[in-house]
Amino acid sequence: MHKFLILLKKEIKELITPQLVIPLIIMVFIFAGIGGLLSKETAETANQQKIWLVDYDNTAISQKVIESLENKNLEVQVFDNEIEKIIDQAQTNNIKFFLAIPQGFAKKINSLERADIIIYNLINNFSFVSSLKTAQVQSVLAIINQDLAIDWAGKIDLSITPQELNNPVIQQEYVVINDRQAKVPLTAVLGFVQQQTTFIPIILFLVIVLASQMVAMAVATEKENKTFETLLSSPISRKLIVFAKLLAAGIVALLFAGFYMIGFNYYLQGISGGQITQSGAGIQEALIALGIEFGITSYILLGLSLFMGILVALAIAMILGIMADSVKSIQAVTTPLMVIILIPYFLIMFLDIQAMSPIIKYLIYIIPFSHPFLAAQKIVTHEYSFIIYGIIYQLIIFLVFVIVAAKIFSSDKVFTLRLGRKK
Amino acid sequence: MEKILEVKNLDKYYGKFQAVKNVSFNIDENEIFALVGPNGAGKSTILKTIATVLSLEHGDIFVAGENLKKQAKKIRKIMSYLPEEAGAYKNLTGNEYLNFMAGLYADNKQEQRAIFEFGQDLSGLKNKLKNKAKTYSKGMTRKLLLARTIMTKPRLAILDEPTSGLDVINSLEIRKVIKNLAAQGMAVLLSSHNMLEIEFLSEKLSIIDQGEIKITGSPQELKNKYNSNNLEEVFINVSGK
Ligand SMILES: Nc1ncnc2c1ncn2[C@@H]1O[C@H](COP(=O)(O)OP(=O)(O)O)[C@@H](O)[C@H]1O
Ligand SMILES: [Mg+2]
Repeated sequence: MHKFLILLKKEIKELITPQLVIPLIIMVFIFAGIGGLLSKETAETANQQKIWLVDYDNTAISQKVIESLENKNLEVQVFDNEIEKIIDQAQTNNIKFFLAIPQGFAKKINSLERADIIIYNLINNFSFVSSLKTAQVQSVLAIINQDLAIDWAGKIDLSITPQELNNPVIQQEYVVINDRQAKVPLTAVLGFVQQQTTFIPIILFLVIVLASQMVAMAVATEKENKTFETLLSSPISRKLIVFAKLLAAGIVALLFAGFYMIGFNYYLQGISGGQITQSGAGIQEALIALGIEFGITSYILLGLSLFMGILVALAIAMILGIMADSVKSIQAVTTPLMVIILIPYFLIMFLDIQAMSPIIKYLIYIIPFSHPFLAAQKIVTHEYSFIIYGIIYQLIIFLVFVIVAAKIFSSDKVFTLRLGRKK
Repeated sequence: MEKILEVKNLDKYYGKFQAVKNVSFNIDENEIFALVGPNGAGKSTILKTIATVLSLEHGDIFVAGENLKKQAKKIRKIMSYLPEEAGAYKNLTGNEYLNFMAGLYADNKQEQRAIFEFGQDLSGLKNKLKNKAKTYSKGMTRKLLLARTIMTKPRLAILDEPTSGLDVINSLEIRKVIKNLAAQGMAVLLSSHNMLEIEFLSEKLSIIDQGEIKITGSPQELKNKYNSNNLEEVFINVSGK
């Protein structure tokens, strides 16, 4: 046991190199930075309370439009000079859009005719945040439409509100998951779940790839430096060497997973900004009714599935590392493993596995790395037995590969196995 | 005198290729014994098999009377091996490397400490031991590794081409350390493709070519037998090249 700890300590020391740690820290900062930027811009956009409005009509009706905006706590700045000058001014003031009420607006509205409002969008980039502005323009227009519609409704003496006129059918949406149901819009549920689960596969993928590269690199480096031969001639069992390497890479990988999660969490907080709190309270109860809450069990199962996935990848990477001629050929040797990890990642992220043909479905289940990705989805629907079978399956695959690795390590194959052509 | 190593009828294959053919030799205690031959002769393969790095399939090896097929673990404790062109762990300092290796051989903390401190002394690297091994020159690395090999006071030290690739000064220093080992009660099995240095270093040697031992004896015996001025001439005579 004492010797195992000595080995383990050395393995971890060898793995945690500046080349590995620095990109990781940069990664966390980048995630956090993007998240911070996004939340700042989101907040700015949401808070752009100042609306520029060009009033070429200058009538009671156009005045009413301005008032209805002001009633919604929007600060309206009114102009009536030439449009080119206003555009110039808007650009220098970093205004993203403004409205113009053309002449004859009131005349049309008064005769129950639809009238035009012109929207000038001033764009200087096509980022995700830009798309938030459309939403703001739409909400400003909705305010105007609503007030003018009430006006019309009064004129033609309707007993129902304009909203009712527009929507004779009332939408009552239920979401059903297994035997639970709740009255809640689907988009609200999906939004919440995706926020919780999209980052898991991404981290999972990064960690598995990173860990396998690490262990393959560690084995190939030991072979190249002949430190491996030194170890094999020392009075410690070869099984200990194998386990120390696997465990060290596993520990370091999990540590890194933790870092990535912290970084990604910042990022998520950034993009979701205030949105969660807005929708939060209402759908919270619905989510609980649906059983969509991530309890301890969910996280333990997901964590186990993830850890098993990492271990399987490590065991395979270890064998691949033995086959590498030199440290330089690590990339080439581990490529097949990366592909096997990428396949379930993409399929599960973007497709509905349940809807696929049974053959494809089972092919995906056979790939051990599918299971952590699947588990990230199945915890939502509480399909725990599926996750547990997945974990057991991964454990079996892991043991098979560890036995193969240990066999190779305790024979001359550790020196003679090579991938591809012999030199 | 007791034999520290007996190799009997050793064959070794890589797949179908036979790298070692019916090799037998003995080493006495306190003896410096060399395997001499050109690149690819099979020297490293023989040393790796004795060091238990490669498996022993055909033939017998006894270290201090223990059968290597049965007592490999016991033998590893009294034997130490320096691979050809070996390096240390890049991210460990010289000290960390020595301490790590000491830990693998020691039974307890005090023993580990004693081995480690002896290794520090042997290396002659002093303050440089605080630096990471990746900053070491070839000569420094070799000194570190040689110190690691002998700090456990093995009864048999196996050194694969201990001076190859080093400059004159470093080679000389390493040779001096090796010469002293026998005086400290260790036997040394080393290999070299440099036949001239072996004359000065070893008391007994085998000339090996294409996996076979051609002749064994002291440098003087071999030179007399073939009426040669140096071992290079002896080699040309026995290999018929
Ligand atoms: N891992 C290996 N796989 C296949 N052949 C090998 C391997 N290692 C060495 N050989 C072959 O075995 C022979 C002896 O090699 P080696 O023992 O390294 O010679 P030396 O140390 O005397 O230079 C050479 O022909 C070499 O090509
Ligand atoms: Mg050699």
